[in-house]
Amino acid sequence: MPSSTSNSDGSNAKRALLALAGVFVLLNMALIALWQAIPFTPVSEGRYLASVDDHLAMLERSKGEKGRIILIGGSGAAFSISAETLGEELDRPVYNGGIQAGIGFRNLMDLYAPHLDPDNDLIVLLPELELLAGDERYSATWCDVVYLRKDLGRLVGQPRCVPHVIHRTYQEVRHHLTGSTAVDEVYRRSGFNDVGDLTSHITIDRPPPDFSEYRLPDISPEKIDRFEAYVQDNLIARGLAVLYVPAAMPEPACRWRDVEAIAAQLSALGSVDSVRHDLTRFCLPAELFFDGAGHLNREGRVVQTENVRAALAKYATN
Amino acid sequence: MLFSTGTFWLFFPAVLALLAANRLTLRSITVQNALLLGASYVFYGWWDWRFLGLIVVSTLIDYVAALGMQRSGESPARKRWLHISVFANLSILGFFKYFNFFVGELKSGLTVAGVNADWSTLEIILPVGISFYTLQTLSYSIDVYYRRAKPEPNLLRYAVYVAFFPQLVAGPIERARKLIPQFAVLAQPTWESLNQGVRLIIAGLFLKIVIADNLAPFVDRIWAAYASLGGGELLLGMLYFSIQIYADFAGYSSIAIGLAALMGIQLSTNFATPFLASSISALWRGWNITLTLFFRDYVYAELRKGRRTESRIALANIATFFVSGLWHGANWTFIVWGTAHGVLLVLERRWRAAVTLSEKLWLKLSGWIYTFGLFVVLSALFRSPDFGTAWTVYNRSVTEFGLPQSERFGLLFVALAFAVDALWRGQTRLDQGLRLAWLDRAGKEMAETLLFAAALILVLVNAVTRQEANAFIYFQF
Repeated sequence: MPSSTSNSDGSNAKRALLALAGVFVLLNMALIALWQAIPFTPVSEGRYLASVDDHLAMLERSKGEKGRIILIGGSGAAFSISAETLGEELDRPVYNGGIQAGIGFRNLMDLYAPHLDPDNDLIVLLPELELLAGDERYSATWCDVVYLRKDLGRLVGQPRCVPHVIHRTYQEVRHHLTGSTAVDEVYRRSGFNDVGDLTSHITIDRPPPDFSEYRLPDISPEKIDRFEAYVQDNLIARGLAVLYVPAAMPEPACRWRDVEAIAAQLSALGSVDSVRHDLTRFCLPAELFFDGAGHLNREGRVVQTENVRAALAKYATN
Repeated sequence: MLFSTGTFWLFFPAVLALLAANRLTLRSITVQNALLLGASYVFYGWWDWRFLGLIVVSTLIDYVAALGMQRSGESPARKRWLHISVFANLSILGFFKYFNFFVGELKSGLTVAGVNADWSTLEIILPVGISFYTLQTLSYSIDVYYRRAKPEPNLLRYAVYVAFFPQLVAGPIERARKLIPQFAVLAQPTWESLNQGVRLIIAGLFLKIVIADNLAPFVDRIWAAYASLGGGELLLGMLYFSIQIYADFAGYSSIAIGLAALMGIQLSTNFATPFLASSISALWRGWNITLTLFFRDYVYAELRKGRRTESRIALANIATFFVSGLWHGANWTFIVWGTAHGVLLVLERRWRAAVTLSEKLWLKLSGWIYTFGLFVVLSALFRSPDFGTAWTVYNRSVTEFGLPQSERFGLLFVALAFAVDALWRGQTRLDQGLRLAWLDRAGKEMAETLLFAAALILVLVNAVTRQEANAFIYFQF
């Protein structure tokens, strides 16, 4: 670089650089203000992830109900288990807290935390393998939740979401301009029932997915440790009763010995007497799945609901 | 490691911090160069650590050859050292880049002649950036031989010159006399270089992430369905690919120059708004400038030596562009693409009056249409994997011609690319800021600041919402 730069050139450049940084911050703030001010279109209000607020309201509404059971997982729990059926069969209030693995287990539980009741609640953990593998604090899905909840506090906690929020705000403006109202027939907020089960898929027939190329997600021991540490420090240490039940998996998943080791490790995590699960019951044939993301169809949902009921019954008798 | 990925933007600040710590404490040039070399090798080894062996060998060959030339004085050994360097560099390049091409061509030829040639070929990986750093080391040896550059006795300094990570994998190709002296002193970024660097990086990322990466799916879709698409869509495909490759490569160059500026190192300009040119020769003066200058100084100049007849100059031009085409890739499509540009240059030289730059607007405009139009049309050769594909694209563009019914949204990114060029017009860097002549000084500064801040926001939004980072196209050459 030229060494003969005069002081005035240097100070001009310094001023220009600082101005650029300042304007960049101001522009971001202006766009965030637009996000806060803009009313959401039906496209956003009807989105699947907008159900996070419904789940929080459901947990708050039922807080204090005696013997409440809350199922926690990703979309596998939402699609594949009927809390409604479980509630009827167990004669206890059961709620489905599963939404989407991409939110991140820790992020979701941080949201749920104020609505849990250590005196009454049993937390049933049904983490899909994808949720264990990809439980990151930052993800596009989590940023979407921040966006849909207009959650400034959490945006400050995760500033990497700012570009996502700006992108979504731009899309919101486009929805307003185009009058778009289309919402996915399965992934929609109105697909959940009052106890948090997703029911929008059970009347839709789709051919079974092809799991011949199925590969186990990359779940390192550090990821399992991180999951365990969070459960210990934030759930069990608060006095919440915790039970682990395996999530439904495609059959090929059971060919990996890692899966059994993970299940054994997580079974020991529970604060209540650990239950040894027969893992083969949770590894289901492709015909019972609705799509390649591990979501069960109507028949599969019956099987996995029965699996969870059996695990809860076993726990009750232990 | 790509400039457009998060990994790089963790790596680069760490390098900057280490360099700053050295400047503030040790103030050691050796430590600075060791840091730069270490960082460059980490950057390069990120692709594949095995590539490092090749760059070390390439470095040592020319380092030793240059010192050999110096020791040889005027004796014939001086020329022998040059021959060793040229032979070794071209052998490395030839083996890794052209071996399979030539063996494949030989097999085809023998098969046509009725000779059985069913032997298997080697699985050779093309090391990233080999075409660029090999030319750089080659230029060093040739410059030392002709005494245009001094041989560098310090191996560390020379190794940094070869491997300096901002320009290692896709240029700008730097001459030794410009870059090596910058590693002989403690690099000292100034507020000016920091300001320039940041703006060049933003502009480069905008070209790459917002324009090139957004055009890539259009181009890929069009080339995937070329046999069934109408002429309008195929012509759009050529237009989009021309803009994509420009935004990709000019973006890379801009980021490279900006990164170096943040470290206090000045690199050569590599692009100067070539798509605003009104002649093919002007386009090439603004396109991949350091490569064009390499071919001018080391290929064209050699071929043109002797009596300067028109036919000799024409042949030298065509041969130089033939080599340039071959450099771009081991495929006949590249060779024909390059040669066609050489032929156009020769024709342009012969009928210069018809296409020369002129102050008359209509002449400039028609020159631009001819220049840009031909570049776009020839780009189909560059993008197509073989002549059959290119022929179908050309054929259907004419026989199935009609207004495009789909893929029109990409025109937005074409317009953006021209807007960037219009603001940058006539400049090789950003020294004078953007072209906003209708504004007073304060207004210009405000508009520039707003534009760069908005561009950075667009870069970040596009970077976080894409599926994965696209590699820079020129890394494959």
